Amino acid sequence: MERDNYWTRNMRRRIGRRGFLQTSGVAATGLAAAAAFGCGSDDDDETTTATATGTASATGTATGSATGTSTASATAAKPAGSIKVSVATLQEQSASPFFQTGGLSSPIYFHAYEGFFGGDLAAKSTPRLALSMEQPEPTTITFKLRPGVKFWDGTDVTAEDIKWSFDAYVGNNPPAPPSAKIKNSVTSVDITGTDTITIKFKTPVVFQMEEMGVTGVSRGWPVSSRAHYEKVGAEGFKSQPMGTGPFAVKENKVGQYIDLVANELYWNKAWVPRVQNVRLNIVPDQQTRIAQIKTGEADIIEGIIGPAAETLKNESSIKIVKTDNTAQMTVRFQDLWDPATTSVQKDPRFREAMKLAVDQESIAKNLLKLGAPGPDILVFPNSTGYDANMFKPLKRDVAKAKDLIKQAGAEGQEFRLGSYSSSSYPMIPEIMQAYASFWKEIGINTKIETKESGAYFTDFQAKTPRGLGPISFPNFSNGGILLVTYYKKGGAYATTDNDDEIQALIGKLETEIDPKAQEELIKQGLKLAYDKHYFIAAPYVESQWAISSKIKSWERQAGLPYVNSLQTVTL
Amino acid sequence: MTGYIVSRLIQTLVTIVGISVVVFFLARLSGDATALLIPPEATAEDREALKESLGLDDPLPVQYGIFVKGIITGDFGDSFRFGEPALDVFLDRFPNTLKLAAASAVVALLGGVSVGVLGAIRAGGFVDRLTTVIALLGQAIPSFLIGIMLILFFAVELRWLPTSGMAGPKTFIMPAIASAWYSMAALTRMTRSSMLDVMETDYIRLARLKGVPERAVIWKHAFRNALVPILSLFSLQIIFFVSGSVVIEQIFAWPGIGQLTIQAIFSRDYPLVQTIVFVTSTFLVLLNLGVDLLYAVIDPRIRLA
Amino acid sequence: MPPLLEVKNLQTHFITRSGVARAVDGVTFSLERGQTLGLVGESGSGKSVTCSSIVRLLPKGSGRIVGGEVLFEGRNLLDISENEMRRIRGSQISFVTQDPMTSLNPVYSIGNQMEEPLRYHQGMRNHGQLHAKVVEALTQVGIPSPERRVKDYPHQLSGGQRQRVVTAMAIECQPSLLIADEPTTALDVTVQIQILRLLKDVQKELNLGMILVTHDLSVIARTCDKVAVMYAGRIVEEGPIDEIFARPRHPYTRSLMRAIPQIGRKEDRLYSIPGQPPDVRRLPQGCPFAPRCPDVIDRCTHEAPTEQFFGSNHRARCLRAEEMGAS
Repeated sequence: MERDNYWTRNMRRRIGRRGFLQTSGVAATGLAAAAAFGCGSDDDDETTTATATGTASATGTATGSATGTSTASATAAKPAGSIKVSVATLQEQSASPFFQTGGLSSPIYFHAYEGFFGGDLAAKSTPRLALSMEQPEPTTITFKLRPGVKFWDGTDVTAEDIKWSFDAYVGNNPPAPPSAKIKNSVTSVDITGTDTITIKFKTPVVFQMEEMGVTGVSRGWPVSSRAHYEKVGAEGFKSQPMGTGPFAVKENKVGQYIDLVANELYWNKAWVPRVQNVRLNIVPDQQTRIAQIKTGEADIIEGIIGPAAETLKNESSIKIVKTDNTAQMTVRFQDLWDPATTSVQKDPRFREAMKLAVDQESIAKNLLKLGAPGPDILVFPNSTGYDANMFKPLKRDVAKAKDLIKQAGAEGQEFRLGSYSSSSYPMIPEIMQAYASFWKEIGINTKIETKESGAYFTDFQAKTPRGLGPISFPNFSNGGILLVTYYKKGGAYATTDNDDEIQALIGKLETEIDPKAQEELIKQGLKLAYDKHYFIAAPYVESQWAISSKIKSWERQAGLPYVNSLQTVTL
Repeated sequence: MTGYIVSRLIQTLVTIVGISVVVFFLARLSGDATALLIPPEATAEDREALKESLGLDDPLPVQYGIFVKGIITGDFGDSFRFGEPALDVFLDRFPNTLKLAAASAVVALLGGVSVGVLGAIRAGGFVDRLTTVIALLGQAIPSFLIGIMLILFFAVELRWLPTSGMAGPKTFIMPAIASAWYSMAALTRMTRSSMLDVMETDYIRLARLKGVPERAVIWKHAFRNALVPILSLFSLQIIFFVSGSVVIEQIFAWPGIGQLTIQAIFSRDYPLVQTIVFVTSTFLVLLNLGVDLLYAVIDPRIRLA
Repeated sequence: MPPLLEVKNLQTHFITRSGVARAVDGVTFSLERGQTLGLVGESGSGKSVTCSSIVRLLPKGSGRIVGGEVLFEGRNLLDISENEMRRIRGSQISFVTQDPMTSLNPVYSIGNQMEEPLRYHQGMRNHGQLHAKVVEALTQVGIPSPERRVKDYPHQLSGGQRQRVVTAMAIECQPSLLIADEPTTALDVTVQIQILRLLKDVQKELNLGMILVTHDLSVIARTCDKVAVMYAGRIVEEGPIDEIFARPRHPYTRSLMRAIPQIGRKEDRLYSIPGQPPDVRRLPQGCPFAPRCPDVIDRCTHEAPTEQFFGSNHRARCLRAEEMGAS
């Protein structure tokens, strides 16, 4: 139950932000300005990385070498040069390691801070400040620390610092979203050896802290230096923080920019930045960001959506790069949770018909001008439990859909469809219009209701929305967390409460700590949701960036819609 | 004069008290702040604990009392979202908005008045017709479009100005023009018609009959009389400048309060919303008072009435 | 020595969308220092336009002086530059305008406005000097406690006082010609008399030439040495005041006289001239007054009357002028 907190907490923040971003009226955000918990893996069109399957061994132990990339050899050179990156927003834009609020400000976290484990370029959880982890019993996890890691100022990271950081993190006011979750579930953090930290939990930890980290593939909390904190004081620490990440925070001008400088002492030599100075500029408007890359005021700009990307294709000095499958959107049947209703949504034939009526290909090609059809299920191709053969996108079949509608006796019915914009998925209102016309073809009338995002969320909690509703979120790597959030009986976001088969699987999943066995259960659960037509998909979409010719290469983490891995930028 | 000032001061005070009430309750009408701060599956105790920590468990009149006490002591509480004193978060941005507002006001006033006066003294001529067209365009073309066009022309094509951001004086030019655009057009029209009305009056004729040079006829005799309606309009326009234009701030990546306000409202950050709205409105009310006193300086009939 | 003012065949036209309006169509008269000319006629007869034309201040755009001469002390004002003209306005030729309620600028003090002619024409800059001059002028026009009035604004003064201020402003620079354009129309009857007396006094004191524009013959009778009656942009009759009142030669002049309310004359209603003044854009053939003339004959409708002289200084533009004088 509690496990849902982190996820949903982020969800909430994301919705809050969406409202903020959409109000401006100008095409603003696109994918890159997306949501709060970013993570994911796989499928970066530019990067070749080893495809590691599971993140841990069968005994619940994860070990791993340093996160390497194919360019690991090019590390000797000193960092040089500078780049300017224009992002749509960094939200609260806190430089403090202990107040990192999630996705939209994650470009700060990704470059400056880290915990025990973090995502590699394939978005797999790999060791960072830890060398390995062990879970001898469901309520205990032990991390073996990596030796020789230094803070930006050259001082050593000690077990004492890590423990102190835990207290500072959970004690920070206001709390960073994941810290509340950690605070509630952790019993103790103990130094159990010179290089070992043991964490004890109140309840069994199923997803090995993945849902607790600042990003979905990280484990642990951001680590900072106690000595530095005591030197600069609580107020000074906010503007002069300390971390271990590949970039150090140089200057943070909230609402304008944050300056980062290469950390040559970074423990992973492959990830010592090649660029010395990075400025992340906040430029909310897409048009302005495009102008900036044309004038050379920016070297990387984020959030380029379909039509805009096409106009940039003719510019010889500008290149478009993308990361696939960074966000997904599905339409849910919102009456399902209510045992009392006799809504036709409870008829699987009706739900299947609604799926069959939709032409995802045309949406991707003609409307979004990006993305690819996805299966009608809440999952990403790189999520744990995804299986390409099992979860195929459905082909549009109007004749069959009409027949099913007739069988279900749903002809001429009218449905409400809540429509709202999102920072994680583009053009939702337009897509909802298109869906309504698809459904019109099979005799279903749709009444689109546009709602303010915050109010929508409140309705959502109160379970007042009925009919249909789109929900979008950025790439998420653990299908199990998705399953528990959306399918568990009585859960705040569940729309399949009454499905005993799925409920039984979730019950097993919540006590299973073996990753292999977990994956099997997740797959079965997703299969049930797929077969029972609980969701109607919209295409997976990718995130696009424009980069100037100054930049030779830039490798990014798979599935992540935010600016990341700037340490890999080569000029 | 003293009577006038005293009565305006009292009105101002009443208005500020009114603002504090409206701001307080409007912020709370935007929805339950805790709904966005803790998950729906949180227990009732969690919810209560959060409310207590935010001071939302007290009865509304008590909360209002705390708010008013805060206004007097300058403590508006901590922002729910930023974790910093709301006043600090606000004051970090407000000067940026004010600087741009001042630049926009100057552009709007100088542009609107000079073009309007020119149109009026050359009424019916080519310049006047051009003025009318410009004024119409100004009111028909939305400012975001002007903003983007300015960027494309001056930043991308000519490379004269930086696209966005707030750095040197150069960075003020385009946002000031774009945000002044509409007001400038409105002021042009108002100045033109107000000047035309005044130019028809007997005292302008007498001034000319006295042999007053034309420049003094226009700027001394006519303009000051035309100024009251221009100022009334201008003081309305200032409200838009000072409250921060979300659109202009978005296009020019201007770190003002417009975006901050929207963000605060959507995240139901009551302390921040209250601070922004209260301080900004109070500032505007005082500005308005200043304008009213200025009327009295300009027009003795107001002063001596 | 040339006369103070000599207007010769002045023609001022207004170009309007519906045609050319001959507002002033060949006006000729002259004026000596110390003399007062009454210019009388209905609204639209061209009296005000004649005055405006003398100082070349016609409404912008449409009004234009198309012919004639305005000789001021022998110098044709229509030939000099705008700047020279401006220097004459308010110094050598001054105006007292019609409505004192609207003629003073509401946002400047009396003193400020009164200083302007001194500043612009005499280059006076010294505050004390200016103040003294202003107070002197106000005293001259009979404003009580002028020291205090200087700081007042127009809205604090009564209509009569304001007209005194306008008059004071007009005489500050010792002009030689004063044009009073319906100076009493907007005032109460009692105040009218005071202002007329003031103008007359000022005129005598400074030995001014004065043109008094009015539509009221009774005002003329009280103040003027000679009178010119205007109709449809022309002077239809001009002569010494006693001559005109004794033997009016033009039926229009006679009608105007009948319109003066007189004590002792028994009439149920005040006489008013029937019909409307003609549209100066479309003047009829023949005499413009013919349609309204009580003494009209056939000839009047197709033959334009020329000027006839009776003695050296009485002239009239009527075909029947001769017989009119006899009756």
